[in-house]
Amino acid sequence: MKARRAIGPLVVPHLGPLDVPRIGPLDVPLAALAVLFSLTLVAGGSVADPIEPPLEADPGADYVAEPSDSLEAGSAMYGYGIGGRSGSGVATRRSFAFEGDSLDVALRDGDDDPYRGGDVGAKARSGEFRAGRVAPRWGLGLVMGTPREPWSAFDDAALEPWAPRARSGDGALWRAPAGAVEMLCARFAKRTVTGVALRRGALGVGIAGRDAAPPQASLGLGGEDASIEGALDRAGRWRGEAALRRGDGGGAWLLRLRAGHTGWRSLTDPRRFDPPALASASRTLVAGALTARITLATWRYAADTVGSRAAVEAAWPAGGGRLRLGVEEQHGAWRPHAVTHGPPRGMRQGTWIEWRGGSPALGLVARHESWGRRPFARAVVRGATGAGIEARLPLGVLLAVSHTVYRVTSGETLYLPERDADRWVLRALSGAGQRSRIAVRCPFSGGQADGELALQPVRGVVTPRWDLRWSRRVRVRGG
Amino acid sequence: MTQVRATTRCAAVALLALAGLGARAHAQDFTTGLPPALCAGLSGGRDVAPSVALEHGLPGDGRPAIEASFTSWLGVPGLTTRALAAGIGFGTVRAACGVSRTGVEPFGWDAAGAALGAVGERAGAAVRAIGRREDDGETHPRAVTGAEVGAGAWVRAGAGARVWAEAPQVWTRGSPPPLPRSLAIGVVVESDGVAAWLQRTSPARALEATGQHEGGIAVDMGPARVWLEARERPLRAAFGLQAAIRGVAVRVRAEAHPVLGETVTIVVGTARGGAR
Repeated sequence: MKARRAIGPLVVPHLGPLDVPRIGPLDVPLAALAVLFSLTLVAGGSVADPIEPPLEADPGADYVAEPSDSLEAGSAMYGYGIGGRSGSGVATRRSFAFEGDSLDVALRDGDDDPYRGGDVGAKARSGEFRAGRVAPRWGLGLVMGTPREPWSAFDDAALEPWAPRARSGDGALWRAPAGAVEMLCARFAKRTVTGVALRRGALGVGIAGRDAAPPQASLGLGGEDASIEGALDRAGRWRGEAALRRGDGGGAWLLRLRAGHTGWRSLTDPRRFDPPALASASRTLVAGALTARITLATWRYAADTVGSRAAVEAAWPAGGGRLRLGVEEQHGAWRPHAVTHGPPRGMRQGTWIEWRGGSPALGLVARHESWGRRPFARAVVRGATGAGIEARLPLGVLLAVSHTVYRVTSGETLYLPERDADRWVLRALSGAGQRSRIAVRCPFSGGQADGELALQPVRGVVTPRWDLRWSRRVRVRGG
Repeated sequence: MTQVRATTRCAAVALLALAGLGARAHAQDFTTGLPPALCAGLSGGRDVAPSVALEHGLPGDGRPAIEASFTSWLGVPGLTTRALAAGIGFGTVRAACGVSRTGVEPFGWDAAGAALGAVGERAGAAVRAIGRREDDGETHPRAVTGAEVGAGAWVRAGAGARVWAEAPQVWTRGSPPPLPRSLAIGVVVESDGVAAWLQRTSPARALEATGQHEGGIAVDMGPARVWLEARERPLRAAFGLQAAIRGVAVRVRAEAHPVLGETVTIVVGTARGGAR
């Protein structure tokens, strides 16, 4: 069954890189805010990963996260949306999904939808067959799939919705019952890739190949406490990665190591250049109501292209809500020169403070962060102050208003996560400006209507951007 | 006429100097004489002036009230703002409206504002809209030349603490506002008649790289309340006094400036009987 995640209600503000997937043991007592900030209660654990677009994405452009809609078995959903901006035409988006006991279908179509296409999955005694958009993943994603970003030190689930999803291709995939055998043939990045994998318990082995590239083999061992994968191609290039986990919740730690050949490239995404070496460690500490996380990570793209980060973040209940403080220092190159086409950025030190809380009828988030070239975040290169409210109005209407003021110097980019009606978008902002968003969600015609208006002055001229979407889920029989 | 023009031009120069020196104005047409920290979510007999909703987008306390204010800016003769505001509440809904005049005719501008919001036990929010009509020195004033819309909200953060946020100029149209006002967030903690607050205001102009911090402390002294404020960029201080006697509330606030003159605000309005 293709895993999808339900689209939750509105999330208030797009207040900076650490805002979206914030979860921890402190969120349990905040049940009163479960509806208002529910998306922040979905994932588990991570609070200290910076939100940046994936390595293969253009760092200076908006990034749209792959949507992950979940449906209950025996239900169908249809969505239709239109949107536009001042001076441009109207773009439409449509989506349909059906989840049955043995059949699931998903279709997306839209003028500006980077994930348009469809897929169908069928289950039978002989296994699972998928056609259309397929997203296989072997082990840690070294051969098939997408490995985690080098600066990430946490589990994929904690990074939702920005978790590196397995690279999607267009083709066909078959899995035997219990996943013992997997065979696929699909086009990734305009190239046809074929592969076969065998699994027995925690052990998995696979081989994949495409035209004009040596085949790659993968050997992986996966479990709850440890995941290890080694990959090798016929030209002798290799890569290995291990992720070790200990503990649960408070006191948990995660160790991640990678080593390999500089020339290693993924068959499914040759554009993506992952660092051949990295090491990261993260530790969660719980002291009463205080939760703290410490993260250390370093990676190397080449002998002269290295990067690192060290971060400490603490969160605790305060005033009926939650207060979070954090400090981070970054060094070196976060992306390879092949992507940035420029010198690596120097030292960056950042601090942030955020409070979110309120009542079930009105929630408020206020946040400020500042990044500087000098210690104690001086010589500011990136700064943002934001606030947002989410109000529950009569007749089931949800209203969210947010406003962010940012200052970003040349060569830097600030990423603001925003929730469109049916997808997450990472807005890349630079320069000096402000961004305001008003979103409304209400029941309509048996379904749900979402409307959004974003205002962002560009050179003093306000360029409104709007979106409207209607969707409805129904229960169906059979499938 | 020549002397009036000269005076008003001096006022305009002073305003430009004010802007150039980075002395951010936290109020314009409906000066409240109160820092936002002392307006956000007050209860228990404290009066929240209707001008607070018009100026900061923070909803009032709902009691019918009317107040008049006078502000002398930077000690510049003729650079004054006179305003009249009224507020009322129905259940959880709060509304306010007002008019003001800045400058001396035929120079200056008129402003009219309205605010609509809602208040609960633990939170409140409001939207404000201001329209301005400028005089151009002729005998007949021009049509409305500028408008702005903003909002604010506060939330009770546990016993004795409140967090608020205000964005007075989320949207503007026509002539830009006399002074830009940007997003501000803050927290105030109150206990045993003493309140302390800290506020962060983000930069309002594109050339400004950093924002501004300010803080203050207020003390209840019987029927009166006094407070001190401090702001940076440039560093300056303000003193305020509020008292209510027999249904009449009076507020006086004076802010010093390291280069320019003092800004003094006097507000007189209705009050709860005998309470602050």
